[in-house]
Amino acid sequence: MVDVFVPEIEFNQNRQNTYFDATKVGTLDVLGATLEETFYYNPTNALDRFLQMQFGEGRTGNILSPEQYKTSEYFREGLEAPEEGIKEGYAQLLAQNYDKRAAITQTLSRSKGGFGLGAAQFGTMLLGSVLDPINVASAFIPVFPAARYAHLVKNLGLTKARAVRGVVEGSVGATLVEPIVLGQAALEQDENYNLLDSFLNVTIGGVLGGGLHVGFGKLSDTIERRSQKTKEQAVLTAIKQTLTDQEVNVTPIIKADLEKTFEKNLEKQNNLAQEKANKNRRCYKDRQRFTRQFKSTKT
Amino acid sequence: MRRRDTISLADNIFLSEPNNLVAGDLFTSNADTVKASVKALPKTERDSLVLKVKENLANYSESISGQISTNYDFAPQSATTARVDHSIAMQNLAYDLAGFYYVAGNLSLDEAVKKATDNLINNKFDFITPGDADGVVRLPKSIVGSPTSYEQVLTSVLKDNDENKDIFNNLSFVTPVNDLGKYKSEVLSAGKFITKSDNSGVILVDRTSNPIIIQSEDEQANITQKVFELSFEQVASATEIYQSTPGTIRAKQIAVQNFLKDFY
Repeated sequence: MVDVFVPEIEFNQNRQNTYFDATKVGTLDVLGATLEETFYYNPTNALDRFLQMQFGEGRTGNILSPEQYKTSEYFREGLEAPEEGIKEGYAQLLAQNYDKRAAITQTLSRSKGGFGLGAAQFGTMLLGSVLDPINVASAFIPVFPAARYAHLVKNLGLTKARAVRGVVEGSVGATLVEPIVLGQAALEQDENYNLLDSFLNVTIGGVLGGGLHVGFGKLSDTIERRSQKTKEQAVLTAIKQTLTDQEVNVTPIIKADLEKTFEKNLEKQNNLAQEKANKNRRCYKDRQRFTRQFKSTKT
Repeated sequence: MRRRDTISLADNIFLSEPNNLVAGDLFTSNADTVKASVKALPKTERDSLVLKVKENLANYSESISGQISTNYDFAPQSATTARVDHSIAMQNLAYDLAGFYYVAGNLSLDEAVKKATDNLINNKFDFITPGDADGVVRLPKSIVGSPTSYEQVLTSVLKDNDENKDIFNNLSFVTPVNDLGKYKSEVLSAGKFITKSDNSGVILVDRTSNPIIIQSEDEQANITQKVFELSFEQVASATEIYQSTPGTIRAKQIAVQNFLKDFY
């Protein structure tokens, strides 16, 4: 039986050439690539790449003519060198960034797809965007008129008004920083990044702004409600911890104040309840006295 | 030998193992009278027979046709018509044999199926699943050492620790178009071993069950290509190294990786 013939497995070149088209990647790989892509197109990274290409490594090495570039190890399909030639360092950076983008695109193109994964990817994009300092700062450019904000607070309440202002300011901020990303994409001859991606970035900026304004607003409210003494103490402690190379931790101070406020509120509510009960008792007694007097007058 | 135009799988079994007593049973189970008796069984029993035979031969079928039941969009490369034909022919043979044991003997359905599949296949092979990709490797019972130790060794070859990555980085694979360095890492994380047709060793295959080809260049710039394969003898030697290496599992795996790298 052991010798019963089974045809041997053979290598198939055509099959191998379609390997990446035929095989899918896991959810974590797709989310990882989405995060990488978000980081890649974040304004801080785009700015960093721009500085590297224009003022850093991009200015090093010999100048390669367009012909030399095409035969060099840095040449990639679809990339072109200007007529006056290209610095070797610049060509190297172009190739590196091209490879990075190609690897991300390849992983994303092997996604299994589906609504759940799409939603998770959108969440990952938001997470990636919120980690970029320029994105966060741009969501707080004060372009929303104060009077209109006051009107919204009156009509919608503080949280909803903050969300509306956040969406507007986040979208405006994203629109303002988008030229950095779009410009760098053009510089890198990245044809995959176009106005549709810019529009998506602005949308994400809006969502991000809404979330940040509501989140930071709540945080700010919590801190603002603390007593002046607690705030001063927290700031002093933070400075002291920073100067002595310790980790900044003022949570116990804020927490103690919160507990104190909670106890005070509880006491206040107790007193109010007591006062109300006394008032009710007095009313009841008055009514009884009045009934007795009325009956005696009648007889 | 029965008078027919072609040599059937049952004939092959008889030819390859003339002393195996199951061959006689196989010919009997193919007799028209026996087949008619099996066919006369209630449909539920026949269906149950088919399912149980498939179940008991699942490992063998997968080891032959290349893990069709793994989560993959297409049948793998190894599932060529001839290989699939073989595993289906073996299932049909086992069905007839189990049916014969069931109708002619005093065995329950489960016992009849077990006896048939054991006599045909399972008494001759052990099945192991090295690596994370659940690839089924069939090991002839004649190998030296325990199946578990073979699984440990083959799993070490597919481990993506730094030392193994270095070994793989030094190998030149024939890679797909637009590889971008991903193919090798996917072989390490999702590669599978498939038993060679002559049961003398294993071949490393990718996720589509395409064999991994290693390319090398000699001093005269002659390029040679060979399939990434390991014989069971080499694996047996590696099991001894695995067992004799003191320390953690990682240390044992590294020792095995260093030993086997010269055979790649």
